[in-house]
Amino acid sequence: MLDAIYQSVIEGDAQRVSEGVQGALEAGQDPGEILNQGMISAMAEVGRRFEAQEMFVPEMLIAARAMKAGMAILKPYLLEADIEPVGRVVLATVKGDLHDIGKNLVGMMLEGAGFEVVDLGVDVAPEGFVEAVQEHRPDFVGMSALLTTTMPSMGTTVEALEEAGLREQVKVMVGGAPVTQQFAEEIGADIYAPDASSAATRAKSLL
Amino acid sequence: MVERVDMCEAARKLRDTYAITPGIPFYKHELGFYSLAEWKGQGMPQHMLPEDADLYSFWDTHVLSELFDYDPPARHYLGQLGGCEGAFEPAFEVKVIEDRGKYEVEQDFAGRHVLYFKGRRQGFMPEYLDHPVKDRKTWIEDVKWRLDPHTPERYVDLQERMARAKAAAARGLIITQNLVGGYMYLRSLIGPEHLLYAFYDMPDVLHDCMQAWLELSDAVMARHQEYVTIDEIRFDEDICYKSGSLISPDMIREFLFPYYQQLIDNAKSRQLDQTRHLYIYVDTDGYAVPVIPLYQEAIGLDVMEPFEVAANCDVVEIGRQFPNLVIIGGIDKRVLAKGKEAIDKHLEYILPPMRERGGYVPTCDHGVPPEVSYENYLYYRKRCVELG
Repeated sequence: MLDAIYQSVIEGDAQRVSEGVQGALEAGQDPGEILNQGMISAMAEVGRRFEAQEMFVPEMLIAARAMKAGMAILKPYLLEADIEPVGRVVLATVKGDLHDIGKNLVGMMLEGAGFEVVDLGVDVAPEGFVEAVQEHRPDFVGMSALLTTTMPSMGTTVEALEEAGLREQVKVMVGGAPVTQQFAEEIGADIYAPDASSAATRAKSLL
Repeated sequence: MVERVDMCEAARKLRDTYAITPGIPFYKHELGFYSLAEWKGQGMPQHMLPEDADLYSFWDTHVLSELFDYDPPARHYLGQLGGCEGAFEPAFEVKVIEDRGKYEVEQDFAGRHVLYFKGRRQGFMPEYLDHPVKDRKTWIEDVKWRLDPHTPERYVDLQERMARAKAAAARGLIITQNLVGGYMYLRSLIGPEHLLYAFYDMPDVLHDCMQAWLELSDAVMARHQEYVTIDEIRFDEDICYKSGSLISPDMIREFLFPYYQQLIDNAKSRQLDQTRHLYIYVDTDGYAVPVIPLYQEAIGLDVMEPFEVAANCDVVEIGRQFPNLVIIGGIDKRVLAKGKEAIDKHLEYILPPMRERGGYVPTCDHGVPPEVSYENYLYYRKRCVELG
């Protein structure tokens, strides 16, 4: 039963995932096992295949969508069983940048890996990140930028977190077209994510 | 084709570059600029720019030939088939449709809903919120009829345009049929994120969109080919991102290549000069290396740009890996922003081996961004000319 859910997530079949999750719950399957063995492990496999260039962005998206369909059914049972997300991420595109497709892909993969994602949207100033960290107490702050001209706001945000005394409470993750490992190190970020799948993998490795 | 001795020097130079002739001087060129507004304040002369020049996005680089030592134009573009969007006739009405305080949403000429900072249309990249094709119904009712190849307005100035094309051909200029590539076209119709789902959710609609693309492109090209032989078909594709192709090779083979192959076959059969090689040129940002062999095999790719270095494109390595590919671009915009020492190191790595190889046109790896200073760009041009 869990294998069927797992396979349906990988194939991006949202209807079969929903039916599978419903069936598994009715059969008395533990919600945590459905989540971890049926869906999170499937998304981990999707991530592995994506990084190996066996799957591409459309396949990753429909797999994430299929998992989301299953989660819509599973979530109340997880809450009832006190099953927590593996971590919480505050995610946004930085100030001056209106692009969100990269951020959205990262958010999907993070959710697929079991994280709770607080998406602040686009054009978020450093103070917006600070307020979100104070409110949501995340484990990670994820920043996305598409342009070389908006990238510096990532460094300013890291400084803002330091000034607010919050830097030690979070791991900072950065990504986007112009962002590099070197840039991430220069601004003091903890993780550079070259793509959505590795964002989830690298975040999980730091838990 | 006009005899080589009757060609203008720029055309000879670019054709020799296309022939991947080792050791010849580089054709001197730039793709475009996002930097001219900054440079105005940094002392760049303005007299050569047209009055209506968009200083935040300027692509008519030949007007700056004297300032930056470029070669004169060596191509003539036939146009009429879109660039980043389909060639709508009529276009959608451009109008503000929503006020969002600090932002506003405008419907653009391609039917997209675009988020801008209020009152500003330049100096940043906008965000597209909505696209006109959501399903078969919206495709048929709102969009498809705007791509009808028989719309007479498409051809009102055909005679004048073809007279200019024939004059360009008489000087040996490369006659380029530029058009929106299939992926860029589908993305502009459906949206970058929704398109990625649409390959699975509505493949039949995508095929219908591509059939319309083919019919329009083919019809317009056929009219052009009554007057001139086309040297080159240029697809503005943008199918790659930082990590490679956005979609799988199988998807490219299903949704794009059959239409491209038909277009190219038809074009070849109609050529006035049947002996002329038809160059195939693809523009795609991002890490393009994985798609090069695909496009070479399927449609005979000859020329590609712009090889963004931030997406891990190294034109020296790519030049070795693909010796038959004409490469345009590959100069790291981030290095141009750094300073003279970095520029020297970068150019000394790229230009000598690529000149020896041939088949390379050095340009910035996309539009020159505003963080590149005017002083740095002048230095880059000086060194490019010295090494090229």
